[in-house]
Amino acid sequence: MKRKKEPSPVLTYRGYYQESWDLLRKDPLAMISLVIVALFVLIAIFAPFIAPYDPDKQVLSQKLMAPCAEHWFGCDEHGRDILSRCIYGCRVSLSVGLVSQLIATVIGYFMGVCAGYFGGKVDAAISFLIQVFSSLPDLLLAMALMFALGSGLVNLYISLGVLAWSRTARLIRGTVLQLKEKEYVKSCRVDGGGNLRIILRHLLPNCIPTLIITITMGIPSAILSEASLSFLGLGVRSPMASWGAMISASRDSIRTSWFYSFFPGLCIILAVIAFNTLGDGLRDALDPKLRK
Amino acid sequence: MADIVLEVKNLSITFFTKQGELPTVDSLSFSLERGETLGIVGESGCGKSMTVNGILQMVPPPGKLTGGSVKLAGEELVGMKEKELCKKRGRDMAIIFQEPMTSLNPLMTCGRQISETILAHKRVSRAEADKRALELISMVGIPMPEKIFNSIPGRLSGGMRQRIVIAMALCNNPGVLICDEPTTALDVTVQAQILGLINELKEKFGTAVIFITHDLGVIRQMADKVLVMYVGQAVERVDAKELFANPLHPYTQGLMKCIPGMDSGDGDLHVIDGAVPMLYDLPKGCLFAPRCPYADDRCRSQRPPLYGKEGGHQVRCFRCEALGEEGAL
Amino acid sequence: MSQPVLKVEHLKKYYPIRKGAFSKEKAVVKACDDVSFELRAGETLGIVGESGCGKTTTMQSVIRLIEPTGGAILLNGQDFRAMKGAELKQARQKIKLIFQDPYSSLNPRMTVKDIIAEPLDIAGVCKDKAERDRRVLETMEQVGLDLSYVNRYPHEFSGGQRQRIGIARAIVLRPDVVVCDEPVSALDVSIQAKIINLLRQFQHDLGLAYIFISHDLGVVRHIADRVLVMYLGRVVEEGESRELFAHPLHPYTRALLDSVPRMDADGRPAAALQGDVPSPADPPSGCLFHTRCPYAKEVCSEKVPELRECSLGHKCACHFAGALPLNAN
Repeated sequence: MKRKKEPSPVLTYRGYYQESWDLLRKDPLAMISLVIVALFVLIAIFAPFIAPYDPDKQVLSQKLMAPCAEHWFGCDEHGRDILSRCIYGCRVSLSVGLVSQLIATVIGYFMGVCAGYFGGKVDAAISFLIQVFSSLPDLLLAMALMFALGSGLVNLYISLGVLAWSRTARLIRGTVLQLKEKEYVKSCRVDGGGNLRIILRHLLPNCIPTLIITITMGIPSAILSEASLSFLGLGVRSPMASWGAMISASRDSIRTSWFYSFFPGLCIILAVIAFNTLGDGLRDALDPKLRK
Repeated sequence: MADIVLEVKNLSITFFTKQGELPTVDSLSFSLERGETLGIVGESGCGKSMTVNGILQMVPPPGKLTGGSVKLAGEELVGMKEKELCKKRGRDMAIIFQEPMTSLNPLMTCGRQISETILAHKRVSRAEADKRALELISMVGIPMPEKIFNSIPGRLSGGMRQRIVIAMALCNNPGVLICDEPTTALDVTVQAQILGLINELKEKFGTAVIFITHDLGVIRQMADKVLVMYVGQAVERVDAKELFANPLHPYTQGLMKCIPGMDSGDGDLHVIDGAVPMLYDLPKGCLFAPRCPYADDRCRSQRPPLYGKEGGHQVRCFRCEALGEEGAL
Repeated sequence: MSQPVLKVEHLKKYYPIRKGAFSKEKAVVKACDDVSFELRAGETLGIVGESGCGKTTTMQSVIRLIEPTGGAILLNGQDFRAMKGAELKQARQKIKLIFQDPYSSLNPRMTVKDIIAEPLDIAGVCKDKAERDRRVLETMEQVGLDLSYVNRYPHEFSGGQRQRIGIARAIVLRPDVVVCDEPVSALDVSIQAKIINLLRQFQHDLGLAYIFISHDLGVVRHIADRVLVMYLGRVVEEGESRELFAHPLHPYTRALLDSVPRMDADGRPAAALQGDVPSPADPPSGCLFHTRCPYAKEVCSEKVPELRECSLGHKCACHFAGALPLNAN
């Protein structure tokens, strides 16, 4: 019999991530938040070039100086420029958000895949751990950890990362439970493919959208936790600028100098809202169920 | 004719998408008499389900009903207010879907669901509605109706669920019953039971039935008249007996030959070359021309009209020109 | 006669269930009970039955996607069930699988090339990238896929083309046995015919042996040389395809055949079987079919009928095999 080729299929093809990007681009809120996030990232990276003053330089004559042409955001109780400190604080906030989420994602993915893929006793043990971690009050545990580890940026990364993995793990476990029943995973097993192959080639690529979403959605809560911890004096060490620490320091002068707590607070709100909105947009754009 | 319950004329549904305006249903006409079954057959994507949505005035966006009229018992549905339409749906026309669970509430007992449907359209007491529901359940051939009345749909088998859906659809004695692939998800033995039931109830109530399926064998058993659809157009419309005895459109002929029957030969199966064209990339001439073994230059450049008289054998193919052109295309 | 490539003896798969949430009493569902068959090179064995009859469990046990509870599987004369590690990996190259749903059987994040090459990668048979590419392209050519699609992703393809990718993946290692689990059920009839022809052609060219699972009796009759009819996990009839469909010995097979809506028959047949398949968790005593069998006698509910050879190569598990008026018309 003569073999006939079927005519060409739909040729308007775009890759999955390209298609997601097309969808995301059409979401104005998500695009605005993406621009804000990008701005924050740029500010964090180029902080030394953008900041008008050295954030740690104290000029006692400018103590609690109100915003003016030289110091747009005013100065703090040690006469340090608040704008510069906000800019450097951006580094702390973003890096805490990102690094802690990366740590959480690595632990969470590993735990989630193990629980979902292997099932049985492994699943029972990991699910129990997930339950324990998600039922503990986050901030309290973070405080305890920071207390034990001592304050400092690296310790912040670790304690927030270790605390945030349970959410990722739970989501990944659910995703893997679904993926495991897919026929391509079964046929890989029938072909003799090992667990490592299935986890890396079939499960990971299909989990990436979930991971992107959990990371973007986790960053704002990490930023908030950092601010709270710094506010309580358990965050970064003293001269280092951090939005939370600045608000904490502004407590004594809050009645007289509104700008001291206002600008760091604005930064926190803006960053959190931007990341959350971006996360929402990404979730809609990456969700294959919303596609045709 | 006095007994026409449903009349569809030049129904057109267009989808407005990025790729342009896609004619999902293109100028479809048919009428349905009391107690008659119209079978609509075609492959996936041919617009058969969209036709149903068009009749019910429930075309999902980005689709839009762009023309034509749908008359239910002489009353025009196109342009009718949503509130009025809601009264019609479920009372004057009912639908049965392929997957019975989509039309059943998993948390409500079967009996209650039927009586709720009765109460939605009729002013009767709850007790009367329940009594009627019980009657309907036993009428659709369910053993131990009292027990099933009080069970939730999740406890029932697929065939039993479909029977409940049928009872629900018939509870207000609708003029038109639309069956959208009602047995595709069922096993053959259960399918035979359900098909028998639909036929039996149709005769009992004099309901007109629109039966949508991709299975020509099912059409043979169920339909009085058949409409064969291809890419949104009716390509052949005729009595069921005549269609199976003497299919005229090359597409219908091809479809019938592709199916391995119980007494087919040993060789390769007949195939229809090529694939169904995409709606945004339709051929200039006859839609079937690229796959048709008889296509000539005229077929490739001109769209054929539906030849043949209304009520007779109608075919959308130049080879049937002899049947004569009908006024309305 | 040549040695069978696959020999399955008394295959069993039992699932333990608990009766009630708190009860300790254990029961088993016999999803596949005492199934035996042989498969020779170039031969197709069809397995038919309603949903829940154990076709899929049997197939999954044969390829060890799930571990069978008992029985023997001999692949090329070697004990497939006892294999482990490298030996098992080696043997798995010889037995492949084609799934029903062309949409969920291909990883959406892998290119066509990587999907087809995966069995090669796992087996580690390619010396270098060039050989891998050559074998992928060669196979794509064989299944009739355009070579320019090699770096595309599955969602760009139609159902029929996806199924071709699935077939390419299954045959790229030149296996001895291919298990096809409803490979055409999700496709339109015109596409279905193409895929069936393709499968038959590979069988001819490469000497493949198929286990072909389907609920569509017409398709099975067309493609299979021998057929197993299963009911509630047990084989009720086995025979040469033409013979079995023309002269069934088991009343269940007869009923299945009668339930298929046929294009050539006129009139509206009554359902051949009443009721649903009993729950596998609580199967009937004696002959599993006696609750629905129109010919059931007392002995049927007491004694389990054995599968015995009634004529050459035609086996049937019925107390009255050959004595029933099944082929009157």
